[in-house]
Amino acid sequence: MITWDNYEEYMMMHADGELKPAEEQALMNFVFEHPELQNELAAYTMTKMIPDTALTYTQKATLTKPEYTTKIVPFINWKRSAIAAGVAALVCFSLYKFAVQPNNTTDVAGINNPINTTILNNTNNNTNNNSAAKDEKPTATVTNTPPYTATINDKVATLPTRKTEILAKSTQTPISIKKDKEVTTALAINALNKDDIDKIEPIYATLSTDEKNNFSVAVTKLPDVAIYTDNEQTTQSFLDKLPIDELKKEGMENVASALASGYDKVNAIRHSISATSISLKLQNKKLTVSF
Amino acid sequence: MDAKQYNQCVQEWADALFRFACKCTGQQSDANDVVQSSFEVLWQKKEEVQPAKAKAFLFQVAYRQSVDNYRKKSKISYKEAPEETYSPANPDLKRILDRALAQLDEQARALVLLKDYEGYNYEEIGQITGLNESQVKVYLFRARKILKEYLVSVENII
Repeated sequence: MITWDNYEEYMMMHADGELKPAEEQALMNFVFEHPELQNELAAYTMTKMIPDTALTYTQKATLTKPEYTTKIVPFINWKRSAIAAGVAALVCFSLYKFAVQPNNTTDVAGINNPINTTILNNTNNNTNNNSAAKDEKPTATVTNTPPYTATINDKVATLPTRKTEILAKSTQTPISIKKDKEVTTALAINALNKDDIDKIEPIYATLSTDEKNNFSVAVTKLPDVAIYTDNEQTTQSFLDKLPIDELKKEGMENVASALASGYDKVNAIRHSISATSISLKLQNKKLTVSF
Repeated sequence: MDAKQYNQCVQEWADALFRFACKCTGQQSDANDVVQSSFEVLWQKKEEVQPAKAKAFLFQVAYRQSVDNYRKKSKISYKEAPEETYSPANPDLKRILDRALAQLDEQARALVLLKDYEGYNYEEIGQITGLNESQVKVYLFRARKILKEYLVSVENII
């Protein structure tokens, strides 16, 4: 209800455009009934400010920011990509493991090296002539790569079981000795430094349990290895350092001792052959003995 | 709000914000600063402000900065020399209205501008200025009455 007490409020709301249609009609009726208020209503209406659209902000370019459009690439072949990523990760891991593999592992008797064994004649006589061996192909040789790679911080490599079996088989197939230092095979070497290698005296041994077969194996004497600790120095056999069980160590010691003792016998045979001017010639798997 | 929506806000509301700031501060240089600061704040808060609320947010920031700026300068030369160079349809009425607007305090002026320039209702003005609806209504009533009396007095003089 518009009265003389609140008509100005309605006029103000009329200028603000906040009156409802019914209130607007009521105000018009009140002004129509009181014409002296028409000028006042017009004055309130004139107070409405009109924005000047000609006044613009001219520095919009300084406000804008660069728009980066993002392109969404569908990941369709995710399984294939996942497999490829897995393979790549596996390859990288393998390369890493290969790269970080400790290279200071002691070369234990060339066990980690390939053993090339050639038995050219294991069915003829059990004699072997050193000179014949030089002239002809070696009857049987166990060839290893150079035995030394050890340093003071070396660790003993794990001795594979397969290599031990090869040595064991050699005891079952004895052949003649070929004493040649160049093809010397070290059963086990661990030295403190390179100079110690030169001090190692190799032992050449032959096992002859069968008169028909000869097998030449050169074994280096196993040196005692000094193991340094923080406060004291102790001496320990190289075999004791090997990470194998005692039974295998004992077997290796037996093989080494057997080879060493057999060497003396074969050496004696070789001297006797030289003394009796018997010549041996090995050719095409045939051994020719000349008296 | 991303950069594209922000730039769209610049294109849509920079002019209106500039006009509002000009009337509030009385100086175009101050209005430029207000507009720059308002959009800078909007950019900083772009993750929180929805595009539909960007205009109200801009005027809220501009209102606070304009009022603060006006209070710091304490009655700047707005009353003496309005800097408008435009030529409205009715230059006499426009000039009289500008002078009448200068009679208001900074808060009443901002309320009138928000109402007349931008068409906000009482509730929206309350949200921008931090006042409740009744306060907005009262302040606007007082402002309208001052403007009306000024216009009537001028008309009487003219």
